[in-house]
Amino acid sequence: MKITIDGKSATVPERTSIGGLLLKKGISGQVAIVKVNGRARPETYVINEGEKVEIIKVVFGG
Amino acid sequence: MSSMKGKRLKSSKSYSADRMWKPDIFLHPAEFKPTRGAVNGGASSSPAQHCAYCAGEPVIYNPYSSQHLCEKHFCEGVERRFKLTIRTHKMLSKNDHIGIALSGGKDSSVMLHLFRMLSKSLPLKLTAITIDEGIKGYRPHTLAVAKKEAKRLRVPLIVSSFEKEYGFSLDRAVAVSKKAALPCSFCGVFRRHLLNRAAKKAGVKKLAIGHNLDDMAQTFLMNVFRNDTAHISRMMAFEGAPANRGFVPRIRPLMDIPEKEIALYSVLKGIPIHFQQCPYATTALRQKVRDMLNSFEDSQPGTKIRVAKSALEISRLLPAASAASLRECKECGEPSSSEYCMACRMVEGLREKMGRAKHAGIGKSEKMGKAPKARQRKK
Ligand SMILES: [Zn+2]
Ligand SMILES: [Zn+2]
Repeated sequence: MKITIDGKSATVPERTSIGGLLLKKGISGQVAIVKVNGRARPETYVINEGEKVEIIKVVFGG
Repeated sequence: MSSMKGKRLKSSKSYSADRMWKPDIFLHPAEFKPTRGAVNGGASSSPAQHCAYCAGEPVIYNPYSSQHLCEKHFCEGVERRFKLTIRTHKMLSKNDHIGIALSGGKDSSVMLHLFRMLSKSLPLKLTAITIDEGIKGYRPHTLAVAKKEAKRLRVPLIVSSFEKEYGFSLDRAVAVSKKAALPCSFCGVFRRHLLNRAAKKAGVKKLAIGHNLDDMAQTFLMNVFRNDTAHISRMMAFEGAPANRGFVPRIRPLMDIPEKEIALYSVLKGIPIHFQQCPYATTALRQKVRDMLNSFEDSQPGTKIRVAKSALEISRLLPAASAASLRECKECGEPSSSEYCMACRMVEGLREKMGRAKHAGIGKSEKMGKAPKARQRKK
């Protein structure tokens, strides 16, 4: 299915979860906040066709 | 990929176990590498997810507590832990004047927000203190955020800079030192030095540092790697020597909240934050320890909480580093264990290198070699 990740079109398998997407991208869930269609979602959230995913990296320091 | 391998994402009670662990839910079979525990991120159909305390849509899943939380209950949880940490460690007294070390990053911005909230119900005086290290392409942005946030929350802000106090920026110090491992060492010593001076000048009684749970766990392990037990002994909530020895006591009210949760809180509360990494961060041992701990947390949720808890318990068992042998630094007047404090010794060393670099025609455009404002070193 087609989704948008950080403004770019991407194809992912059906029923991809946020946790799965992060895993595939090699990003630890400890250092990422993910928004779907502008709303923060947990790693267990299953992404639907056409949804806009935004990955915010949690940077060290602050 | 490896960082999340074996991640155990237990789901809330509404999930059926067999459904949770299906590996093919989001990965192509060819990509799926079975590991102990689930790697499917606890995938389930989205509508089944709800907060552990209400029917609200979750914004986070915390594997260490096996809970989904909605925005309301997540934010309340962060605020509750902040208050509980303050209460447990008796961090505040009546009519306290708290100095908030504000960098403009997520932790200190959230801490400022939480203190501002607390000051509505408690008689507290707040002063934000920002240190401008002089890091091109990074600090100007975070400094702007800090200024804007302090203004918005009506908290007075003091800015102290390396350039103004020492006569050179961190960028310049790094350029002449040419040792990749050093930026964070310089920065840490100079920041602590200037924060303490600025806090005393502002009449601050306690200095609040935005160290989160991850920072505490990382600091502890780094001290173990270095066999720095003296530092571990100072890892209690109230670090540092008594105020009358020249140190403003430090408090860490975010020390029980994981880094990710602070970041999420800032996003949900619309706290403006500059999500940009310090360009020198990757050179630090801390970054390696952070990656290692996150990897452990992915496979064994709760690791960071346990390490941070161990840090506090072990620090209580160790004899506290004595403040009795401290004296005033001959140059800046700050507390020091030797004739000149570490910051002044580092400044001196860097200034000598800068002088040599200037003679060699390097970096002529930058102001340097200026003595610290406090007083000239007596030779
Ligand atoms: Zn709720
Ligand atoms: Zn000194």
